[in-house]
Amino acid sequence: MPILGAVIGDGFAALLAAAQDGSEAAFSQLWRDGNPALLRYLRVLAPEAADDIAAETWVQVVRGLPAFRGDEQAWRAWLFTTSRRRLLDERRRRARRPAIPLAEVPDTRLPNVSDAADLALEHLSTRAVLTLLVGLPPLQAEVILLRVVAGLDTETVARMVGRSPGAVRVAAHRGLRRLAQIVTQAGVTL
Amino acid sequence: MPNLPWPGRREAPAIPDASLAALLAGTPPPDQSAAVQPAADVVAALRAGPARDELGGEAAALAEFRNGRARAARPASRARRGQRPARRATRIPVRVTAAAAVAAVGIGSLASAAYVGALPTPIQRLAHATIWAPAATRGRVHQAAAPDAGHPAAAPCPATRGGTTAPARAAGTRPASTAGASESVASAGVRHPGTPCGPIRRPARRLTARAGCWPAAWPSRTSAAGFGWSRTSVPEPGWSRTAGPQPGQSGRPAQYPGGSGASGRPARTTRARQAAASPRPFWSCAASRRRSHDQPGHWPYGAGHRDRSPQPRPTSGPGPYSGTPSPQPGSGSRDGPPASSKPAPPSHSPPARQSVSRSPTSPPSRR
Repeated sequence: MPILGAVIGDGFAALLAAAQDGSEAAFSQLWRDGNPALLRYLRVLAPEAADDIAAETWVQVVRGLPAFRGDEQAWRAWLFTTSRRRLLDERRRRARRPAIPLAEVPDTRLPNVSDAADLALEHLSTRAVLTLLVGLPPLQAEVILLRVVAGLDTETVARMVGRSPGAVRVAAHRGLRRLAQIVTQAGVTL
Repeated sequence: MPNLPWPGRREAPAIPDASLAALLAGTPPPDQSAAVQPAADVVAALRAGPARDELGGEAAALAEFRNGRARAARPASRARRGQRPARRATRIPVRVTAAAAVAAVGIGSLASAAYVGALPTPIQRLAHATIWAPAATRGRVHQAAAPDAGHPAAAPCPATRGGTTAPARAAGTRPASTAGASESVASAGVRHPGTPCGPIRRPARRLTARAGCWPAAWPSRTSAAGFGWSRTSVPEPGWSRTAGPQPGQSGRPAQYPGGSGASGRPARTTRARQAAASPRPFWSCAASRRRSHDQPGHWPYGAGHRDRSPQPRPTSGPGPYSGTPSPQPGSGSRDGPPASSKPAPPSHSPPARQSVSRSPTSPPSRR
């Protein structure tokens, strides 16, 4: 099973340098590495505006990419920090101008892959967990997403959310125990 | 969305912290028990590979990347023309505005201080010469109002100039300045040429009483009440020249300028004695101030306690009245000319009420 965290590895520096020099292929690889995790993170915290916030995040990343310096961990931290700021901006904007959708938008984001059976089951499993994460307290859900999906360490997550590393660790453990308890009680096979 | 059945409440297994930490870090947990498996499944589901919908916006992202390259490939000069002048245009006015505001406030404050007269003397003079601010009046004589040297009012006061004899202002002509003018000038701290004596900064009340320094304006006994004096201008309750301060009373009211307050002897008497040590005419200021308290209608103890019989003066030796004749006993006249130059014997006995005898020192006869 492919995982999201640290998928680039040792070749990240060369990939980043190529992307900063203008290589579209390098940037495409960076985008493929970061965008799925970004969307999973945003779909838990802002389900109604996840795609818009992700697009704005990448616009900011493109603007700041030539000046970025750091390794893959720093890259992911910068990516999710930018996304979190855009998320907070979106929340403020929606608080100022609340909007209620008149009709449900049909789900056009269903997977369309060759091996539909396996990937649909996998996708549904991921969606089920994301749905369970929505029921958690916001801090626990965000910490689990940043630790698991974004692949950030405890200190980086603590800086991002403005809490102490101990608080982040406790929140992550409580949230993960709560998810395991829900899955065990529900008898869900992911 | 999976269908989540609820088979019943079951106790969740306890998961060690080490296993949770390992799962969060992406490493295999040390405990492979069944209790850790639900948490491992959740983490594995969250780290599953990207779905197709999660990669749907790649084309838009690449387009934005190309646009970013195009913006970065612009000539630096064009970028400078497009951005930096705008920043300068917003920064420079802020600085200029701040500097102008500070300068305006400073100049305004300086001008206000100049017109109020609160500046130091050199700066005040400069302001007077440049922006027509009031002239500096501190520490110098008002030149504009100073009379010529030949004017009798321009002569220094003997009581404050070391005992020199009075100038020719004894001619009996009072200058044009009045007591009110002297008061106003004295309140400003300036020696006015019409004020013949006394230090520069005197309280207005004392200067009012000193208006009698002018022989020509010395009021008669009958007209003293109409001279404008009031009881407040004769602040001598509880003190008589012959008896000194009464027991339990200070020599003069506490608010009296220069008074000793709690001391037994008022400072005014001491000053009068010092002034008496120098030869001077009887119409000198200190003497006139003393006599001003003896005016009818200003006796602080009322008419019932007045004793018009002449009493010996309390001072010993040549005092301010050494050249002033005591009135003849029984005459009761204060306007009579001096008849004797012998100093009065000192009197040390008078208690409060009985010795409240007026000194028969009479004002000089007006000629």
